[in-house]
Amino acid sequence: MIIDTFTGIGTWPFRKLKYASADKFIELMEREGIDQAVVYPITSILAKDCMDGNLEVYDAYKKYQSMVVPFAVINPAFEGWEHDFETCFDKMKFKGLRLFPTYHGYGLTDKCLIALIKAAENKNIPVALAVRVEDERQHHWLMKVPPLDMGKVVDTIIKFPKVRFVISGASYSELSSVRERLAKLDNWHFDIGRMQGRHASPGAVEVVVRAVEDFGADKMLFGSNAPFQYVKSSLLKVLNAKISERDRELILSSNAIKLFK
Amino acid sequence: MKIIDMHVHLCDDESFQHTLDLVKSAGVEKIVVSCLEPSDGVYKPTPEQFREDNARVYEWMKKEPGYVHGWVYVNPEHERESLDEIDRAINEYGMTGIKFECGCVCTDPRYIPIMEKAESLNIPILQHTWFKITGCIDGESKPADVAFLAKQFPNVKIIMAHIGGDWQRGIKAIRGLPNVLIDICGSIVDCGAIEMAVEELGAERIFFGTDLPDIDFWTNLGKVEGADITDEQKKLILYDNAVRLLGGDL
Repeated sequence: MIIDTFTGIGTWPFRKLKYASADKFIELMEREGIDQAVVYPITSILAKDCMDGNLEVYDAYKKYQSMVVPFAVINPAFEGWEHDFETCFDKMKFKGLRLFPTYHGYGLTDKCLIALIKAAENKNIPVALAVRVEDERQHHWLMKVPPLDMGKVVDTIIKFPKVRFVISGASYSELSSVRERLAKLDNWHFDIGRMQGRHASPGAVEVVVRAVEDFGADKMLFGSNAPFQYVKSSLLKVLNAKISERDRELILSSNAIKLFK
Repeated sequence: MKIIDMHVHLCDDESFQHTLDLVKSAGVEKIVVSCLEPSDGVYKPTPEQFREDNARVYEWMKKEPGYVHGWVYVNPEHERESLDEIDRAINEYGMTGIKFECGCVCTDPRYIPIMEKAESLNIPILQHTWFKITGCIDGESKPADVAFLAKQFPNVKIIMAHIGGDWQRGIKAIRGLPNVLIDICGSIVDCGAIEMAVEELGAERIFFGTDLPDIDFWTNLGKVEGADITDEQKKLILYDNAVRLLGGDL
């Protein structure tokens, strides 16, 4: 079984995403042999009202229930988020929360975020922190958005020991920079969607092998960052990595099942 | 499907062995290698440094004859020494082309004698290229710079590495210049990049590469395997184009 924990559908203004509609997205997932996908609303990254995108994902969830695991995007710096939060999780039964602090203009220590994470904690909802959307070197010239500060990501994970966090879209180098601090914590996972190399560190050249050595397969989630990126790139990384079959299964599905149950 | 990796960097014997084990187990038929150490991270190697880099590649070529091929790495800031090194690497080492990194931007007049040498020897250029909205590093070339160079030397084949980094800019900058080819290697995995390159340039102008050992092999193979293009086009990118370009050496 393969669960892709890092996917989205919706509108992205800076380039055409071929598989961003629900129907095309499902077609892609089936073609690549993905059994389930954790889907967030791409539209909500830049729409002022995140519900624009959340409703799109909800529609996809209703249509493709066996495939789609819906994650909501909430902007706690925007008015009325509490009501939207309840709508997403009490009425629409979203399974998790994905946050874009650097796109929505709040910091990881801001009161509004603390309130949102507490709300997630109360409902036992997993929280994915989006480190980035696209490579900073390729951003639109009118919109240069920095990645999340990894030190502050770890501070947030420490602050909420009962919340299950996913560090999403980090590079291998970024995650390695906080490796020692993360090693002391249990309530986090990371996805491999934007881990494209191990950048000048010695030893094994396969990034998944390095990540298993450094962080443990029990912390890793298969994620492709589709439709921004090729699913096959992340898939081949895991399917061909010289790791044990147990570790491969943890990464491809078991960790996700446990995390999002 | 057969594979030739046109863009590999090796720095020491340990990375050589790790990389070799991986590419051989993945079924790669040949790799074309440059060494950017000990100058890696400096980007402006002295003649002593690039001579040492190329000597290391030659040692690996001798260890794996017919499997490891070499790009000769030079810095146009050192004209005389670069020309001498190219002579040595092509004639004595049997390398296949010239690798430029970030010694200076490829619009720099100091490129001219080296490009004339490449033309006279009928060897290709592999040019590191990356447009970064965050700002290029000193000496880094952008796709528009490659286009400028290519117009001056229409008989020299120039491989614009990484599809120029920002691939939309990269493809559009060079699409009207048939002597500019591209490789797809590096950390950008954007869905749609390979399809656009095939549509705008034709699969015949595209090479497979990885940027090993820094960038993951499977990440890069997945770009080609996952693209909505025909099997014939994948075959051209992964293997046939490299054979055609480097045929005499392979």
